[in-house]
Amino acid sequence: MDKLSQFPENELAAELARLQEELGSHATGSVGADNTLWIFRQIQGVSSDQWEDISQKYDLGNWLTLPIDGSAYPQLKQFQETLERLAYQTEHDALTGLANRRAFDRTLDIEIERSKRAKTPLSIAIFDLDNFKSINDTYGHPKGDEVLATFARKLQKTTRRYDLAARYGGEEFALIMAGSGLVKAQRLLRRLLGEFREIEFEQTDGNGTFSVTTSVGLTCFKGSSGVTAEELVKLADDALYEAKTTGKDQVKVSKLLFVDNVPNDTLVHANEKQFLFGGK
Amino acid sequence: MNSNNTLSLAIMSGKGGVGKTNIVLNLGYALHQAEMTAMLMDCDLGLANLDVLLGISPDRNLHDLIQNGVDAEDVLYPIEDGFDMLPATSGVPELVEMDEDIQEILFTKLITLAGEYDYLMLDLGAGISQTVLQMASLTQLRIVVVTPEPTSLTDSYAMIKVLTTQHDVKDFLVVVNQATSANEAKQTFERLAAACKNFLNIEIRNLGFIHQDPALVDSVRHQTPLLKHAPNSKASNDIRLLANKIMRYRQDNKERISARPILKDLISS
Repeated sequence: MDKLSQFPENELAAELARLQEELGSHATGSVGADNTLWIFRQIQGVSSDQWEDISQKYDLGNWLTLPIDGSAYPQLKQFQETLERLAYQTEHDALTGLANRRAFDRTLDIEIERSKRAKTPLSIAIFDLDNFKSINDTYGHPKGDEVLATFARKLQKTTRRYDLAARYGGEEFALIMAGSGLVKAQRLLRRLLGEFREIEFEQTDGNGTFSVTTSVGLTCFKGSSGVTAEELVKLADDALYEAKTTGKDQVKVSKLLFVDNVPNDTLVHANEKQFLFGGK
Repeated sequence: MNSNNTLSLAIMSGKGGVGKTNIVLNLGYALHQAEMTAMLMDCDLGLANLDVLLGISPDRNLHDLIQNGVDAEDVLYPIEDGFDMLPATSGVPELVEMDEDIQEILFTKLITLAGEYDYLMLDLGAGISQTVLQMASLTQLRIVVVTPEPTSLTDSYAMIKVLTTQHDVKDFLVVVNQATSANEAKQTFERLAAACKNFLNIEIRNLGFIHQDPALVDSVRHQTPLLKHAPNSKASNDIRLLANKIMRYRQDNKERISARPILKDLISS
């Protein structure tokens, strides 16, 4: 058996030493639940006996190891699954499975940075289902939930893989469309609104069906100005308010940030032209 | 949709310097003299010329119109009663490559106003930039201005080819400008038409021609429309004939024109 010679013992030892040094420089002294971390990593090709040798040789005794067999494996697997479930829950909405507001905010920050760097457009839409309260009041909350889940599925299906659809709160949804300008975004939104409007929901009393319309506020960022995520959401929200107050079931575009930013220091002004025309 | 039967036309050329802007201005002037109303839009966005041909220096232009809170009425410049223009800017390279969002903002703002006129004429910039091509595909009619020079013929053909293959636009009217004779104009049109037929399988239509005329150069120097400066010149007569054909087209196709939007909607297209 020549396993040890295949395993890059020196590299691992050096990596762990570097990590230990780096982490040591950040350690604050006091130990509590809020500043204590476990760091796990799977390393293949090393047996418990070999690790014993390595840890002695390189003074790595404070690293904890667990063999991936026997009783430790099911425990760790379960631990991992719990972690994954918790990680999912912190960023997803339970009813609709869409990203939640926290994930939306995080992604929006990243996309604004990307848009600034690459000078690509970024559109943000906020949706509000029209007269949703009366659906809950008339047909009950389970029906309301069905409408929300149906809208979420439609939203997810209509958008592209790199768009982020989120449940923003109650009956409000939000969509980040990276790389889309206003024209492309409106094309998508019109289609979405039209398709959702066509869906027929069964009335709970069995007296036929009803349909639901949606209002949308849209804004667009083109990477030129130093806008914040809050400001963009506010613009989309203002546009949504306008859509709501001017008849619902429509898309309204916000005041636009990029149009006031076309530089005009190179513009040939009226007086310059008059001069060229010879005082005409 | 288009209750006043506003006919929209894009005037384009591929090659620069073939007299496009002069044709737009004077066609507009001829329509005005025939008691039609017309709105000219200078779409050569980085290097405006329409205002220069008129010797005017408007304070506001399309650059202002893009901005929040500015309406088409604020930017409109009256040339004569019922004959108005929307001036472009000079020296703003950012506007030359106007993306579809900016185009949409502009056209949304001016479409209601445009609907009050009999004609909306877009003077497109030279070249085959995406901006020029996109705008050429939005209007109801397209007039390609060509001169007998091989360079002009080639550039016009290239433009027609891109519009046909990429933008699915297949109807073109051709005006041969700077022709020394009716025969030369005919040959020029026929060569272009044959190329379009052979290679693109489309039929382009001959709207007419304009004689080469020193009076035109003179009118540019005087910054006055040719039809005003030298109303009895050969070129003026030619342009009036073209205007008559356009008016006849509008008269004969009122139903078709009113059933279509003045400009194609970018969002639903």
